[in-house]
Amino acid sequence: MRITTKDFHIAWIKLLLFLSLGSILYLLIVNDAMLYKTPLSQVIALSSKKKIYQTDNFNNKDYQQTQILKLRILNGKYRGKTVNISNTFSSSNAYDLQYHRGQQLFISLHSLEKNDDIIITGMKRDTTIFLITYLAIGLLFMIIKMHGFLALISVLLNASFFFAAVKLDVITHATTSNVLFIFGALAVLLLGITSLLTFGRSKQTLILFCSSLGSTSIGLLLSIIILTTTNYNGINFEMMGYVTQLRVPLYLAGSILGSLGAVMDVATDITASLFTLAYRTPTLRFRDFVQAGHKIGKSVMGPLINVLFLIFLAGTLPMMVLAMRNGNSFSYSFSMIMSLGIVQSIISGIAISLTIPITTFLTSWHCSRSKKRDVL
Amino acid sequence: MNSIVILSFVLLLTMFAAGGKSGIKSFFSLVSCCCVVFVTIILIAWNFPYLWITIISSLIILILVIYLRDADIKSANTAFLSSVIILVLLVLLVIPLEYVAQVQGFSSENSADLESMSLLIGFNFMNAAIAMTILSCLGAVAEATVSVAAGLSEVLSHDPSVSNEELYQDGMMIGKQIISTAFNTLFFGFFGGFLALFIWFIRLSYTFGEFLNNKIFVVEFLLTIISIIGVTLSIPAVIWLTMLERKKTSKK
Repeated sequence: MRITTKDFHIAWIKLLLFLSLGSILYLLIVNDAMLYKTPLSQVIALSSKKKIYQTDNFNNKDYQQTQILKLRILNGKYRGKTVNISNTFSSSNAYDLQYHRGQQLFISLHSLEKNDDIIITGMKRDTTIFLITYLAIGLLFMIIKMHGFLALISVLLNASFFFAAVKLDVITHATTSNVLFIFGALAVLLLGITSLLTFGRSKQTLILFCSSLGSTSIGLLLSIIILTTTNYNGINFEMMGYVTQLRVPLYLAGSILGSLGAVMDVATDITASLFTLAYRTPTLRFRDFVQAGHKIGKSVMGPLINVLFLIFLAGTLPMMVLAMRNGNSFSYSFSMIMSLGIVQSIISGIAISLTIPITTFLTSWHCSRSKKRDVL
Repeated sequence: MNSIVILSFVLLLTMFAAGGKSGIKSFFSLVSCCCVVFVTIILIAWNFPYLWITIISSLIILILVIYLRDADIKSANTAFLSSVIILVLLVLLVIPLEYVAQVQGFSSENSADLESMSLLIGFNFMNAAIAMTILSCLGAVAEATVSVAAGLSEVLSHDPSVSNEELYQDGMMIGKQIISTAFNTLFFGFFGGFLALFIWFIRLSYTFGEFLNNKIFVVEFLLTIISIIGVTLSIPAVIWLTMLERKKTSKK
């Protein structure tokens, strides 16, 4: 592809537009304190006290340091007032942070007189979220143009249904049967939406939907049978994080949702390629389609299962480091912290590999049968 | 019997059923990747220089994922090289990003897990956050580069005389499809992995603002978005490298 000066011209204007829109939005979000009901403040000056060194039971050397922060309140009835509060942090930053001038912090504040009551409840991170999302969307449109729009709509639709289901789960007080029913129905709904958005109203959509649903259900059923017959041996459900309801159904619901995307990924690859193949060479027989489908499935299976493994494994890294630095062995930390993520990845892996024969069979059957009547 | 052992065995069986010999190969690549991640965690916990460890393990993981498949060596080389380029770009993006986001360490939602643990361990959790973000996006990047490279090599093998413009168009066509499916994989993974956390947020009626600025939410969101940026960048990188490779071989 040769790039002419004309192309460059347009690209420059677009880039400039992209950057200036970004800067305007950035400035708006930096100054959006009035949108928050929680008191928000900005660090305008700070001074640090001496470092206090200490060593814990496991011979880890660390220090703690106290900083006095002068905060200007940015919203609410105390807007414009300043308060002084102290913040203690360590060099590890495990459960604390060192603050710097210019950062915006959420605080809980009842009255200005009693400074001791004021505590920092968190940092304002919406600007970071905005910057990285803006960059991602910008790149998406730059590279795949308007097609990126469709991908975004799909994500937003799925996210809104997901939140609706979570809300429903909370409202209905999440009994065991409820949880599996709500999230099972959600899974079917999300599958339907995503299949429709991928292939439009066509036979391909139907095949994609059926094979993804079939393989996820069989994979999950198989996993549940194994888990119950082995009596969940070696899996520490009591170590599940953020639990507010019964653990096992919640965990299984998470596993179903987690594997859906990857299952659809393989199923889409296989159906799309086999339909193209059938379109190009309509004389192919069932066996040829099966062979072609398996070839595609084989090459994407490994990398795809790896995607989920790496996401779930890497996410445990900070907790693993903390556990091991607290004198726990690797195998103990593994069984306490990593086993849940590993099992979730294995369940997804089983569903993904089951997708290959199921999708290949369904698509090949359809393509080899319909060639005579030419219903593609 | 231990559930994990039985489940892994069933995974091996289903992978064999789906892909025969190459299914077994993929299974071993998976097991080796896990072992690499384990070693990385241990070394980082022992205070080895985290950035070097992360980069070296990332390269090993990329090699394991990309080369332990049934693929022609040329498209595997292209996929590997472009993944390395993306890896470098992402490292350069992630380090400043983590410093701005300040999401290292744990949050009040974790307090139950942290009971009885010493938190002053003299280990900078910023390093863990950076290592975690880089490792978690590798799978998605490798998958994207492998798919585009394989698609393009298919196009080239059918018609070696295809023009660069057409090759570019074909690459973009393949890329579009890969981005949509990768989006699904990543976002569903995100929803599934953090279902419990989202239920927590809603049950304890977090406001939209609290939710958006929550440390754990931001950590997970960054992991997903960084993977998406990696996948998106993979497409032009692979197309560009395939063209470069072609120019080189045609000169010879």
